[in-house]
Amino acid sequence: MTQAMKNVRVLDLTDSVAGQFCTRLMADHGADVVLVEPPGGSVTRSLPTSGNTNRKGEASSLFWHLNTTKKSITLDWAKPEGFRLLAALCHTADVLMVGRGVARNSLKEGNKGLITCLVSDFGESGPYSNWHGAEIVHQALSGTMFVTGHPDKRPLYGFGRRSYYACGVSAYIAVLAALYHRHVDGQGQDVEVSVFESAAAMGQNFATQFAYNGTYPLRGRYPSPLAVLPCRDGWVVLFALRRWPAVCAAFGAEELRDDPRFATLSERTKNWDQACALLQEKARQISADQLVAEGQKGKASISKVMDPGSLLACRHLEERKFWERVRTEQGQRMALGPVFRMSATPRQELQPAPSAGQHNSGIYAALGVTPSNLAELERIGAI
Amino acid sequence: MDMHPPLEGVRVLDFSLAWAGPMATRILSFLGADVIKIEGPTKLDSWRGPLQGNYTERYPDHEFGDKPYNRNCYFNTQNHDKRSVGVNLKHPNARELMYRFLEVCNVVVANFSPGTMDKLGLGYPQLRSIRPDVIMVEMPAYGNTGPFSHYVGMGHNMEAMAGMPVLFGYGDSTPVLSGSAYLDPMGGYHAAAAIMTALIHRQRTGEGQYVEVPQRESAMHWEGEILLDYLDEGHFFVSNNNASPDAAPHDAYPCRGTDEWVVMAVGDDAQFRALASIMGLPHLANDERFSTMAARHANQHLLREPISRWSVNFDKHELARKLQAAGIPAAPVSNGKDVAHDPHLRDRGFFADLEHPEAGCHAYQGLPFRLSTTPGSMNEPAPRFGEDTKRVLHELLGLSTSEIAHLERIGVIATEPATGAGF
Repeated sequence: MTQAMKNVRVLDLTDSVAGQFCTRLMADHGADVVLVEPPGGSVTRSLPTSGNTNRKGEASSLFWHLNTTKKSITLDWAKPEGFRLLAALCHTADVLMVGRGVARNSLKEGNKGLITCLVSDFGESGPYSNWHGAEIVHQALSGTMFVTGHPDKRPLYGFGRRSYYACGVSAYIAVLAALYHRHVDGQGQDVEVSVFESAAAMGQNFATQFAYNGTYPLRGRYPSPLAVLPCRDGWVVLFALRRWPAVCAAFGAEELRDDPRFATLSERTKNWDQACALLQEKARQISADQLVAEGQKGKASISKVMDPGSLLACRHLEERKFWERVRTEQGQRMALGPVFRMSATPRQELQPAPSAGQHNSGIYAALGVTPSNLAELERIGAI
Repeated sequence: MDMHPPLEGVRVLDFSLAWAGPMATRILSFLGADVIKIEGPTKLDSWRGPLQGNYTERYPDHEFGDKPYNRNCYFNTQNHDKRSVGVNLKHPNARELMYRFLEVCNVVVANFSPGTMDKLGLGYPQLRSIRPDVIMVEMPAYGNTGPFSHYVGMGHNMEAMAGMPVLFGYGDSTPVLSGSAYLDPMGGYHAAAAIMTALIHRQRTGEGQYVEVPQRESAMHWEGEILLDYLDEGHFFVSNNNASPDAAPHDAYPCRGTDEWVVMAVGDDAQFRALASIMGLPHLANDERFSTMAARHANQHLLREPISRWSVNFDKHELARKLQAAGIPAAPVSNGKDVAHDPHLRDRGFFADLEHPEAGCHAYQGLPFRLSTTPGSMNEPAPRFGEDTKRVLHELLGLSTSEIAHLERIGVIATEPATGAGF
């Protein structure tokens, strides 16, 4: 079986979670992706995640997750010798992913089919174009942070680097659109995606609601009957838009079925705090798994709050073979299953993430760089 | 500039409802695809709201109007540039009509629970037998296989199943849900990525295929390093009260007004010195409780009060600008009004003014994709229910006026929701 992006040649200079997640998706689907790292290695090799130190001698979890199945070369393209090598690599590339500060125009010379993609926090123009980015910054600006958390406490940004992943998927979509168009006339183009706009586009219609009537949602007031409820051994999330009788049955609260306070959606929404208090009383005696099993039998939208431990042990994910083992030099390492599953062109078998510059000799030799040139380039720090 | 958008020639038969699916197909229409949205007359897309209207804050000037289902800002935001065809998919003659659509549609998108399309006679094997190169994409919450594949759930259910609510909170071990159905736009992005991948393959080879976007699993990629760290180290970082392993202090601080906040993420010693300086408390930089990253991580709770006492004197926008100018990542915590007025989004043309015949003229949020020669665009407002039913059947499928009238009479197609339609 082949892959959808087989033989598409990608150079990834982004040194960012967003750019590397984008090219990770490309590598998953068969593209020939070369990560172009600064001579000291990409910053994603050492970004703190759990706050602890990285695996000894191996790539951090973050780097591993973002860069399976890619090759790596090291290059300082700010040096003239480095830039010349980059230009040579661009001659035969299909996609060039960059962060800010890379002269895309000169790299496009001689390859009219090259698709370039700029990935950055705020883009190159506009009032925030010189702003410093961070996950909490993007969550705050997007409108999502304002509505997240308790009404009487500080708003919460969430966790991790989700806005950057959003930008990575957005860049993937945009580059593939450019590739799709290129088929028509062979012409490349310049693509751009910013983290801020990727996060803002995930907003739950906040700006439109304001445009429609001058209101906006507040924290802790989700408009539909939604609750996180503690049960005997954990937590469940209940969304009681529909199937109230099934909800009542699952919680052993049949007496609430026809209670006029809750029987219709609008009444239930109005009196939701009361409903939650009553359901919570019942839930204390019931296990999360049982609540979910009973509720789902009646098609109530109830689900268990999982955590990393229960996800790793989840039998549903196990049956779907979601936790994959990748063979590495050190033995094996776990990776996540596919973002999407294609019937004719499934994700290719994952290969380990590369060490920094692992493919220098092979790739530079193909450009005509001799071993002594290579040594000289290393000496001056161009590689 | 090339006037042909990138996805010209792609025509999508869209059965999806609510947010995730419609956002995916909206991405396609933004990029130039022709999206035909099939809407059931007896069961409305929940984002149109109920027939008689609900949640007045979703309607222009809080007024339901004559047809509330055409005036809901939720639906209207996620369904611009699509056509609406009313079809009762449960009618015995509906299947045949849908097969006709495959003559002109080359992508099919649905976000029903697993097995639903098959039961309607519209599963991939049936569709492929009619149109071999069709691309079909479905977005089941937990995938098409496995013991929980039949589980129902909305965005927050999937968020819980992805383990996200335990990764942040207020330090009392209570899981917190996102204030928006955060998994939904994630699903929108991932489904669009899946469709684009299948389109690339078909363009190169002529071959269509079926693509499954298991929303919970795709979402887990956005916390992949956290899960893999847990596997290695047996614990995970919880962002309590906005803490982050990347920076300290890292939090939201109160500003002038009610529920007005600024965030900052102080990432190194230089930024902390800059903060101390603009706060007028330069000695903080030398205080050994705060003078190194490790110390700040351990003691940032002690900084909350002095920073808050200072920040509360400022407008959040002004303070964010001041902090950014000093080299510190910072931002106002934007509410919906702030987002609508955001100067950067406005400057970059992120919003588009669309005139809707029953809702009026408003600014709608856009999408982040920028292509230099074939840019995407937002042109037409979201369709009214069944607005394009007759035109599409006549112009695209070549049905005659009497054939169309017959289908309407027997209840296969509709140009308005049925009386008593639910959602």
